[in-house]
Amino acid sequence: MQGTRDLTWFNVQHGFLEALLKGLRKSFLTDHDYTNLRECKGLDDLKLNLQETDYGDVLEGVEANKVNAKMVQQKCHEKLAKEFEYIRAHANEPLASFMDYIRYEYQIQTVISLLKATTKGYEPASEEIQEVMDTCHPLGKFDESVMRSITAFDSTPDGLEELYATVLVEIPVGKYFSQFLAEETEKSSVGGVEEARTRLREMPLATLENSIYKLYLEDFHRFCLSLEGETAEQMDRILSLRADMISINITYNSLRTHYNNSAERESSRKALYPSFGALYPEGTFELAKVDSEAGIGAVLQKYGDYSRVWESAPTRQIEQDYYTGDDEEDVEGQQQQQESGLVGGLSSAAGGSNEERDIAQAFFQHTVKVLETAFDGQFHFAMFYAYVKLKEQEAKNLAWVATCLKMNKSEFDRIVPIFRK
Amino acid sequence: MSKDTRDNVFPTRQMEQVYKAKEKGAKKGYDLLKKKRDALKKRFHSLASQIYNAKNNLSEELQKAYFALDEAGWSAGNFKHKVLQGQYAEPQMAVNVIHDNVAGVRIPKFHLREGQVANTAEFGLAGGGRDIERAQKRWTSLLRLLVKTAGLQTQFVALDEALKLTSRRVNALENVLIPRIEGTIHYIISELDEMEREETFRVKKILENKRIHAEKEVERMQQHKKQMQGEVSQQDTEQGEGE
Repeated sequence: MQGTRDLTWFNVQHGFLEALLKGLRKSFLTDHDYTNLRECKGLDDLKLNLQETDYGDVLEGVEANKVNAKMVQQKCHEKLAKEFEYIRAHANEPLASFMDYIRYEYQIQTVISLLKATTKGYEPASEEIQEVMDTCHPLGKFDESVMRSITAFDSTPDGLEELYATVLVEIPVGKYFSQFLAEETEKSSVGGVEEARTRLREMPLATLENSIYKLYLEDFHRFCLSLEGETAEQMDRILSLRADMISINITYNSLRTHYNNSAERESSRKALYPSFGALYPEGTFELAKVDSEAGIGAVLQKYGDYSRVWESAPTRQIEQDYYTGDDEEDVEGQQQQQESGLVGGLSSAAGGSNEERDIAQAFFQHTVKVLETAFDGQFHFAMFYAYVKLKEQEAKNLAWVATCLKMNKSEFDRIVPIFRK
Repeated sequence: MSKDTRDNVFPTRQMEQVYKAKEKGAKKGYDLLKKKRDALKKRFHSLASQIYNAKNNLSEELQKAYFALDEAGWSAGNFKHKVLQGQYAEPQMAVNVIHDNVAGVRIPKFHLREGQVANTAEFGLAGGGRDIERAQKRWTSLLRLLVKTAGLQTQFVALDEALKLTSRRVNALENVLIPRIEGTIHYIISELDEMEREETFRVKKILENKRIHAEKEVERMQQHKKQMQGEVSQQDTEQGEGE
């Protein structure tokens, strides 16, 4: 396999697609478009306004009063998938493999979604399964038959193993699942296969997903490095950011879950951190020990970029106006019934401060910046990755606009515009 | 007095007493029921305003809840299927129905029991966990409000039923039963008076008859006396001639 280090032949092999992609830069929504969109009166108005943008025909054939946020997002994804397929069809190696790697992420999502739906106990032919299949990312879709067979397995450890042996080996992302199984078996070497099975049964699928995803990222990272040259450099930056983002997010989000128990902090939680990125290994080693928000800030201090992201994270008021049912009643001195008042009281969520960082949002913004830089570069594959990711962010933006319009809210600040001038 | 507004009874003093007692009872019952109705009415109105408030809050909460869900979707992606995964043996919330006593009416009341709330933050470990948690809180709070509203509605319906029943009773007492008893008493009294008058008349008549009889007797006696005197004087003359 020839890497992208050799620039001599890059344009011969990939020049057309690169040029094509550069042309697609025009398709991103501009600030002007966003201003127009946020001034829409309603969702039907949104459809009208979209017609002037690159998304002109995505809502074609949809009745104006049936437009909703999820649908907008799904339609945008379908458009993206179409463009992706086109480029993929023209791609030479190693760009073809690279693009397949981009797709793996969505395929993992699909598999996990289907697994989840199945563990829930839905029948393979049921409406719920059909809905899951319909709503999964168009880039991650398999053949109908493959998706059906995933949902047909029994939700037992045996069934799970069978699934890996028969169905998942057929699809490209199956290797991550088998790798995961192998690792689990290895870990519980004392108890052997039996113990591995028990572990699998008890493992929440959320953990499975995080683990699989981690394996994928690591594999993708290795692959990118093998391409060498500009691609390796750019992709290393992007994937490192993703990996670090996952590490930081996991730490941040786990603060209030059982992962923050001193026992699990360094075993379960640490295992979820990807094993590359700017934070790895020193940073993740320290993150594993963190048990407070301030702690995360302290760890990130050593990493300029992340420290800046952390500090710049928009804070958000924690709402306290949850209805607790305490405001009982009532009328005329019938005290004897007071005792029957509704039991209320949520454990007060925020300890002390009533603001919290919206760290996810800060990373979205940061990621978009890094991706934009990658997209503007030349002679590398990272721009293909950047394009997919940026388009996805744009789909999210549009969905958010739709949500805000529907809810009559004006929190458009969340939108992360792409290629803002 | 028409037959509708009174019971068909035999007018006697005893009956009058019975009906007097009945009237007293009915009036007392009427007063009590009226009080009960007023109590229920008061409760009813306060319930109505509570329901109004709750419903107002509800629309607001509903919107907040959906928005929180969308926010979670923004930062965590589609996490629907992750939530579906959990096996919830124990409900997070359960509703018990207990009965409450308002002026002798059993009103069902919803009592909310909250169990262990599943920790949802880990659904979005790699992003959006906090938002999912926030959405969960919003929906929990919405559920509480929903249960409360449903409870109020149930109470409202039950109270409405009881109120109608009591009102019907009060009206029946006021417009049918009490007038009927009063009518009966009136009838008895008038009937008794009538009887009394008849009695007096009869006595008068008897006395008159007696007087007439007595006069006739006296007359007869006088005639008799006269006759007797006549005979005596005849004898006297006869005796005198005979001497």
